[in-house]
Amino acid sequence: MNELEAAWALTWRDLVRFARDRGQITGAFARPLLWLIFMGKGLSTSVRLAGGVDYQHFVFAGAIAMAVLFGGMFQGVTIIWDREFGFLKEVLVAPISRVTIVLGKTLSGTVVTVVQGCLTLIFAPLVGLHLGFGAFFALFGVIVILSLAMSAMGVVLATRMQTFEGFGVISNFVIMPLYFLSGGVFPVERLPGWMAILVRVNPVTYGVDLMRHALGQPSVFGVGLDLSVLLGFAGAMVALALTWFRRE
Amino acid sequence: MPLGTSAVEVRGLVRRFGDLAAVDDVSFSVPTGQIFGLLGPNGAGKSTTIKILCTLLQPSEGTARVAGHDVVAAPAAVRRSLGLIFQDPSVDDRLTARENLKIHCMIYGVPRSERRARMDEALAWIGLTAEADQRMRTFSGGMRRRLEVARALLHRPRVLFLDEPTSGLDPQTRRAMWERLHELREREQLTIFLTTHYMEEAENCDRLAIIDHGKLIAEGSPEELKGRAGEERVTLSTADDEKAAKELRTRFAVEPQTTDRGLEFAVSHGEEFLARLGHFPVELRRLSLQKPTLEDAFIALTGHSIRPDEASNRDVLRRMVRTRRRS
Repeated sequence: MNELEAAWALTWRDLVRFARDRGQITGAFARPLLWLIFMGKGLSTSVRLAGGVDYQHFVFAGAIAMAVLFGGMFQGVTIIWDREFGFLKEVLVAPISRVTIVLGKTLSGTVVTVVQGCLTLIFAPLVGLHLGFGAFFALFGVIVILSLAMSAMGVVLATRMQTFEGFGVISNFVIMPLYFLSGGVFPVERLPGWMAILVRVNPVTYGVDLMRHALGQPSVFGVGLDLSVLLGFAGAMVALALTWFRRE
Repeated sequence: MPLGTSAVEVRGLVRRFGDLAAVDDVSFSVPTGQIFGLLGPNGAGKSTTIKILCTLLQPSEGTARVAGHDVVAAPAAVRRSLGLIFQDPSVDDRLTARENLKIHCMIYGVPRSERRARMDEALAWIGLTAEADQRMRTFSGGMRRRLEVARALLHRPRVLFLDEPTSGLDPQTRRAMWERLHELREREQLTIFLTTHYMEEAENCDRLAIIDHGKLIAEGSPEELKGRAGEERVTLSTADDEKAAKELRTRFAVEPQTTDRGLEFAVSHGEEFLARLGHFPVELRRLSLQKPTLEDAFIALTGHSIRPDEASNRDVLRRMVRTRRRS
């Protein structure tokens, strides 16, 4: 009981902090807009995709993935802030288990990230994409699972990093590759072999593919495979976060 | 916990980091209701000791008990019975004072029905009722520290740990904080355990343990420790030093020496001695009593100053400290 409430306390704190952070909220609005409008509109004039999908529509799943990848990772990595500014110590010495701390932090990351992911959904009509109820909820589901996975991954990386400066490195060497090789920015069917392998190894690919199913766009894998890989990825990240944070 | 038992009990505590023993076979016990200070320079092993007592670090050897619970076997029970104030700030400055307290209540399991009353009481106690709903970003260092003290007490701990509690605070805030701690000790029978490298702060403790290079060098009340640093010295300047010297030898059984400042001699209880001087037959022009300071005690016991940069000029420093003390 106390553990549950303690986990909620950590989540509540992060939600309050997010709600008060104008920079983060502005970014959450601006990022998907930039991708959908500039990237989408810009490339749609010159890119012809197989199957006649408008690039603006094609990049929609990518924009969602982008929001979730950055949002989730950033939330998880805020543990480094907490460590640097002392709040983490207050939490570590409390009579609650490490599991509770990781779950509280992952939960808050997930909620904040889902909000950011859903902002992109709201912008769908701007690019002429009209989502039905089914598609909306299916996308929402994918966003939730992917958010959970990315927040947990952020926690995992936070346990390995001493200072916040490392976030730049993470964004360049973790978020960007995960994003570009996810099938969100360009179709992955006709890539050279080595790149195709990287795409298939990247768990985010399966999340993006699942979103394509929901959007009724051409997809690469079956729904079953997509969902299993995505859930497995989230589960593995949460497990890894729990294991590594224990040493904190 | 019954009175008279130890709030903190440490036996043969060792903590190694690689080859270095940061804490090296340390033993002490702190009775309930006492203010106990661990005095030593930076890097002496104070923070390591407090981390072990607060279950943030495992001991390499030895045992430690807080409020009767073993820190290794029952860390959860230890955590429930302690409050901790860290060396560095640990409030969330994007939250308000009240929100910080609320989170503490939630993660320390303060009964829901009592939260409001306890938070209001805490805010009133530290004089932050009016600022309760302001974000802590706007708070001064002293205000943050006060909130941390109040926060650490919300779950009614039996032992309060403070790691360098007043470093970086102005003298006024420092004094106010000590008033609060003394008040708490009286009111709640709270045991207070602190680490410090400030002599003025150490003076506030009932008992002190001096720690240096991971080893416990001495333990006792500030007065006892000062007593071990050497005797108290009286300096007299009179209208007739020769006559006064004779008088001192015969009637007071002390052995004065003539210096450029007058007559100097050692006594065991300075204040008592001065009281007896009331009917001294020679006119006194100047009279001073120099007591060893804690700094003197520290130097006498460890062989160096608590501030490493001044350790080389030990004698100069000792004189300086005395001069300051006298003025």
